[in-house]
Amino acid sequence: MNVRRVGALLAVIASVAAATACGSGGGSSSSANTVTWMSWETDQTNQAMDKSFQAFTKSSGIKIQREAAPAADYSQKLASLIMAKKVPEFFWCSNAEEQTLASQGLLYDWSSYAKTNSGLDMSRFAPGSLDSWRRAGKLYGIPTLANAYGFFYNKKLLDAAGVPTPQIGWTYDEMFSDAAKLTGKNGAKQGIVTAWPLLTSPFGLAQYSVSAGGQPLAGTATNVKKVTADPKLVEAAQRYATAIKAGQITPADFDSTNSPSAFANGSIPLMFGGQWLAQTMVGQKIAFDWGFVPMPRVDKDVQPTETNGVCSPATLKNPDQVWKAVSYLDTTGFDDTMKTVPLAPIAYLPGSQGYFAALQGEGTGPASIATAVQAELNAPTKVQTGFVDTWATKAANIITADWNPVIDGKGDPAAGVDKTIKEINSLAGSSS
Amino acid sequence: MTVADPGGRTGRAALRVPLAASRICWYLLCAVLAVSMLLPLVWTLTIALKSNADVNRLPPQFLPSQFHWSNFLTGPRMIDFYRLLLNTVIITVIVTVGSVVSSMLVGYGLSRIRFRGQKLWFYLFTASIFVPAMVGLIPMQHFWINLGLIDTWFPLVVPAFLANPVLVFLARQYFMSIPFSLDEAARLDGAGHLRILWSIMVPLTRPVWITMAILSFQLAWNDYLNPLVYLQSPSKFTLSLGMAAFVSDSAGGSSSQYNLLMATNLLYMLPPLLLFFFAQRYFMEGIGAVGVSSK
Repeated sequence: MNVRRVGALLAVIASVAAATACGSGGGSSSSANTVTWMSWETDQTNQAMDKSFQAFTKSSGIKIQREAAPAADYSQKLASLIMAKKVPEFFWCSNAEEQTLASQGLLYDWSSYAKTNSGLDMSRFAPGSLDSWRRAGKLYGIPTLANAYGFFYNKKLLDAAGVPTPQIGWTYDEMFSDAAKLTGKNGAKQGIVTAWPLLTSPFGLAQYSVSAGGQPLAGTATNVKKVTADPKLVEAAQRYATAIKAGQITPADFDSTNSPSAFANGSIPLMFGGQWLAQTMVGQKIAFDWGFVPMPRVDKDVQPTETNGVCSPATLKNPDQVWKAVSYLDTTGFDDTMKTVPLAPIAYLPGSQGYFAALQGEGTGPASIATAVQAELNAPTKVQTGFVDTWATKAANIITADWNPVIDGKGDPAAGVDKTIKEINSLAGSSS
Repeated sequence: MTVADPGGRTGRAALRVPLAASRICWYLLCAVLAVSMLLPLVWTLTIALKSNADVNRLPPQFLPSQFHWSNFLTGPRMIDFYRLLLNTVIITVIVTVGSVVSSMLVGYGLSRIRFRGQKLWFYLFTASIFVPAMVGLIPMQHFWINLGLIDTWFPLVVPAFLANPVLVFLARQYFMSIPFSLDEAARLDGAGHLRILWSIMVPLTRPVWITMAILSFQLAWNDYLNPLVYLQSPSKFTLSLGMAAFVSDSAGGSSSQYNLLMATNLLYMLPPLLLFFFAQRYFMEGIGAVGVSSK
């Protein structure tokens, strides 16, 4: 082989590269009658949605085209698309992402469409679910899938320990008492194991506080300038610290990766987690009786509210078509999809029937999830499950450093709560 | 009466480990190392053959309760494996050729051509090894966006033709171990730098450029971040990007399909594994010889 032949080879490679790289146009190049979208869902869920959108295309004449995004690292993908100004016309976004992007003027304001009540009847959203999607009176995202939190119980282990099966409306006194009774019995190391950190977080304790007649952490869901710790929240912190120190509840910094599998294998009597874990339970074909109940109460029924949603870029050119597509998604698209893949209820309540029907057909355990989730979504008083303002990530660091140790029983809970609140206030104040 | 051992042979013999025991220890050590290397691969295979329910069982079971061979068909089908494989092969081959050729040229220049600041350039190249790739990600993204080349393979392949600092370092060190008398003799015969590089250096440095090719191939094959950031059309995706479809960040990861991921992953890792298997002799030689030059 000589130099000339190497040169020829390189030329061929370069031309192949050029040809393949420029072969077809990419990005969200949509035609006038096409709406592009992108989700973080798995292939199975996406395909179910594509199928549902085909019916929409038939009836409306609007073509819906999904842009591919890997289910993992969605945020990174979204950031790069925004930077390249190639973001699809509507895309999945978390509440915190929506607030951050809206603060930078990157999102379309849907307020005027929401006011018309055409396509979506805004009064039919679950109570409290729209609040966190507003920013300075504008609506930058439409809530879609909601998360509900509660306790999965193993009836066999509860019966063996003489603990009554928790029911909707159970109390915190019962919860702490059950945790104590179940600890160390029938192979259970702790009475309550967490599969999600909300329970012992400031927001989990705020649910206790509001239920006991206290105040929430903040007066508004977004644009939070000041947080406060109600005496009832401090009371909750003391109760949790005592229970965690006694080994009755897993600590705030517990690694919960294996909790769902451990529950499905019958070694956990009570597990705190989200409704999505039903997928693991159904997949495992659990042999024992199990069920799901919402968060307990002190006095009033208060439940957490957490939703994901869809957002559109500020540069949107065909908002009428996109609004129709998003309305279809919330009213029908998710309803169809969740019949096949029952992951989560829809914040737009009429759109959740498919989800509930799918769970009802899976046996008593999943059916109890449907009942509990319905009760949670309809609960009139809601508390947030996290900060969504632009400083939320920094606040999470403060919680890890200051809050978790005191909830785990290392130090005075009252002093720890006070310190956490002061630091978050300093952060919120400096970020405003 | 005790007979003294004048040479102290008894004491030394007592310290000497019998050959059989030494061999057993050596084989035991090799067996432990082999198992520690192979176990993750075997574990990957057993997960690939399980149902998703079996994957989540606690305590974990090493062998599947039922063998799901169909995972090896379902997983690849889900991500259009063969299309992505073709894309990955094309990108990887171009990147490998570009990296090796450009790094060899730069390495040759830094080692065989005398010019002012020769060492400084070498140190600059070497120092750039320690700059994390993430630092340049956003500026580079702006660069490619402004050129209108987002969602093409150009951002993935063009940088390969601008020399890779690690490969430049390897090439330069290897070139330094070759006597300069060879260049001088060739120059007396009228050869220029390109002729010296092609006719003398390339044949003499085969272990190092094969090593460079393996390293470059592996980097391009496994690259996830750049395709994630630069590619948008599924028809242009690489396998690393396709593999991410099996793992979900949402719902606490409960909707991830680890069995399909592992089944597809075994197919994904085959090409670099085979390449290393067939070229490992050169790889060892190349890495070993880099330390020869101390200049």
